Amino acid sequence: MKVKLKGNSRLMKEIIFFTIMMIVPTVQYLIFGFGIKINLITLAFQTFNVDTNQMEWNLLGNFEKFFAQYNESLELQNSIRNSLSLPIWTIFLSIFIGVFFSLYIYKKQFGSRAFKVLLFMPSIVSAIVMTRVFSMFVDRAYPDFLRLTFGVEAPLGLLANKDTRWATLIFYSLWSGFGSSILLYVGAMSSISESLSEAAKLDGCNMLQESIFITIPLIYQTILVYITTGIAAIFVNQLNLYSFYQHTASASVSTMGYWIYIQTLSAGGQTQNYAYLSAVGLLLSCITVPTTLIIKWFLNKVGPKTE
Amino acid sequence: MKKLFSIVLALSITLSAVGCSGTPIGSGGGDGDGSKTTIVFAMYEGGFGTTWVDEAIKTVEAKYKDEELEPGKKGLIIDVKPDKGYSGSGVASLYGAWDCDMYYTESFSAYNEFAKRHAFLDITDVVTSKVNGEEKTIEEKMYQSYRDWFKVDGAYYALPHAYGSGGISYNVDIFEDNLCYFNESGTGFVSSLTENRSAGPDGVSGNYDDGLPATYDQFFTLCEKLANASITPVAWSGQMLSYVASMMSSLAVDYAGYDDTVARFSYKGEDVEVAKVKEININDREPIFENGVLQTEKVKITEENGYKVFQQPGFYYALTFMQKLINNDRYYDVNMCTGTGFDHLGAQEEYVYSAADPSKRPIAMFVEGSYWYNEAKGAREDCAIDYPTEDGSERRFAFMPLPKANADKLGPQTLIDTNQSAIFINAEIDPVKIAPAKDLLKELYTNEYLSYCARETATLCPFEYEIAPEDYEAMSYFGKSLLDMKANGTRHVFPYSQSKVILANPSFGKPNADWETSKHGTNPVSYFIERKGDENFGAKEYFTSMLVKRRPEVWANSILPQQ
Repeated sequence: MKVKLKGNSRLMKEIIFFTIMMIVPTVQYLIFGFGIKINLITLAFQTFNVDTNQMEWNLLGNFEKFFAQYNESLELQNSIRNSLSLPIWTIFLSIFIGVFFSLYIYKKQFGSRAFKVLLFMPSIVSAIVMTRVFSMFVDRAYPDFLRLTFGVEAPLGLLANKDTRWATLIFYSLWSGFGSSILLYVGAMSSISESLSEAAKLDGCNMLQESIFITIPLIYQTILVYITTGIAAIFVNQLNLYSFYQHTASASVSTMGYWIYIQTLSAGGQTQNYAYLSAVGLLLSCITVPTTLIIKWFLNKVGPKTE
Repeated sequence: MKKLFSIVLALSITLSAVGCSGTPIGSGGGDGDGSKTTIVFAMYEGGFGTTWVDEAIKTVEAKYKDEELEPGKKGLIIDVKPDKGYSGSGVASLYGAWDCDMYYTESFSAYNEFAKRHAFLDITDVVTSKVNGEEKTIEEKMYQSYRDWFKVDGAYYALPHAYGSGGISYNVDIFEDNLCYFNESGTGFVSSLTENRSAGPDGVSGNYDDGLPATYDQFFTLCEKLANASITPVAWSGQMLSYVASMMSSLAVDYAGYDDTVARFSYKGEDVEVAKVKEININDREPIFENGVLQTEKVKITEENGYKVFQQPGFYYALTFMQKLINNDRYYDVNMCTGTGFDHLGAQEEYVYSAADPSKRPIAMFVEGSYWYNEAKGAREDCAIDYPTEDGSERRFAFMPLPKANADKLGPQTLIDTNQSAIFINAEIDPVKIAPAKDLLKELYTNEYLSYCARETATLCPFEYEIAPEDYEAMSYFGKSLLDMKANGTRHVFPYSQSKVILANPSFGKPNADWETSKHGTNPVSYFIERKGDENFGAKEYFTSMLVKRRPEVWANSILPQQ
């Protein structure tokens, strides 16, 4: 009896402790996570009546406005196109290069420490500072270098020049995103048993074979996380456009993440504008949610198994 | 030890509760030792700064120093909370969590919506009163287009303050040193500063703008002269091309003139000049040219045919101006003006220092809002320390009256207010604070104080008032140039109205909305930079795309509020 009571008492204490610990995050999530999202979804189906100064139910009004605007706006068309093409660069190329550098660092090859610093630096330094330094480098120092060294007349910076702009933005996006991904890849690689590597070497595997047949399959789940979160965020990725260009990024490089951000800033706090943007967000979510789930299922199915 | 660590970690989670205070920007609590009633005045910290209210605050605080507004509290403190977060959109998005008593904000397009919600205190009694024994009430002093916006359902809920416009500033010292003023006939430049000069853009001789470029042609002649003298004619921030678009909007509005511009934003006007347009089909239209000249007609503007306001020819001529400027690399600093390396503050600093630092190439003119001078105060002061003038005087900059598209358009300037400032009192203010808050408003809008503000900030407010001689003498050269423009007929239009089109599409009040197109993006400066020298893309193509964007079918279905 005494033992049972003691067990119940301990259980009760644990339940109380757990409840106290979880109350704050649960309430916070219900309000700021769940509640706000429900509010946003309902807002998507309302429009503003200028006569009554009230929001009114209008199931399709905002969506019709979006499709009408799509037909009229080069920026919107480019934004969607650029956002859909971004995964090639920001996900697949990023993963390819990220895994490569991670393997290089994991294997402690020549200069791996220097690479570590270079690749982690954008993650350590404030993003706004990094973008300012980068833009001053490519749009002030680089043109000056061309002018003074090669005598080029009125040279354009890499971000100013429409021919190099997209590549420069992609480069910066990749570089600034490496820090966190390499950290995770190297962490996942470090958890691979040394005995596997040794056994592979004994069987005559070179470094490349070991990477392809052992290391990458074993970190596949980590790679999968990056792919699925990247896909989920294709319409959120701003490509740092606002940090570089403020409101006036060229339509040719605009992304949906940037377009939505600019529209939100321009909303001026007016409810009618937020309702429209909610509808746009909902529409884009209807594309990204099933796409992400399907891709995740597919990659899980076809990807290498740990066994 | 582990248990202690767990407890400490668990307790640290509760720190997130501080996020529930509802004071996301600055601090709404107010300073002071609690012995005095405190009014918290949130102020947007932008180009105009926030120190211009200080003297008015001292006056009101002195008035209430012996008053017991609240039990146990004697006297009054007005605590200013400056923060960039108090922009119009910032203030509007925080509605429901306003914890300051008064607000000064800018770009406040949500005013009408919030006024109708009674989010602001009704200050009609203040606005319709004669302050400081003056002859006119604040309302009577206010420019008409501002009255039309700020009066909602017969009542006032906020007051405008300093206005600003996109435009071009110039370095007076460079102009004088290089004799950059047109001679009396306008065919060349003066050979001495005492020689008679041309009449300038207003077409009137003997006033502030004599010798300045009156037309676009003269402006580019001036650019040529400056470039030949190894001076960069024009510069702007490559990162903030919206300011250049704002200058283009000023050119367009100036072409249209005051009445047509008011008609444009109110969607009510007779005989408004618009470009003639050929409707090719429901999705396509183009402007009509004859012998290379844009053809125009005069029409009545209503909300139903409001798309025609985007056909105003000033837009086209502003595009031709920009195209010509961009196509010639000698006329501007390519590095500064096309890249992201110079934000607006960096560009201001570069412009200021270019006049003083012998290692830099001088820049004669600068495209920015008229508030840039106050915003660059730090850069100017640093430059004066690093490179003092021989006699210790300030370097002279002035706001240039914009050139006209052609000689037929000479006359006073018309500009739009891109600042769109507003001061209001929170409707939830403690009743005991209402009287002193209103007294502060009254103090800020006396002629005397408006004159003082002009002196302090080198900006003007949209009211009819005289600048006191002592304030004029103490004003910077730049401030005097703005005042000279006002004194010589420059009129400002507020780009919002009670029109349902504007209320349903508040972005139409922002200069950048002017330049939206169906095919070429929304910023003409980017467009011209990317297509420099390409004859297939130019002002005509951009203007055509603007017309297509605002064609009748789209107007009727998407822009006009549905009944």
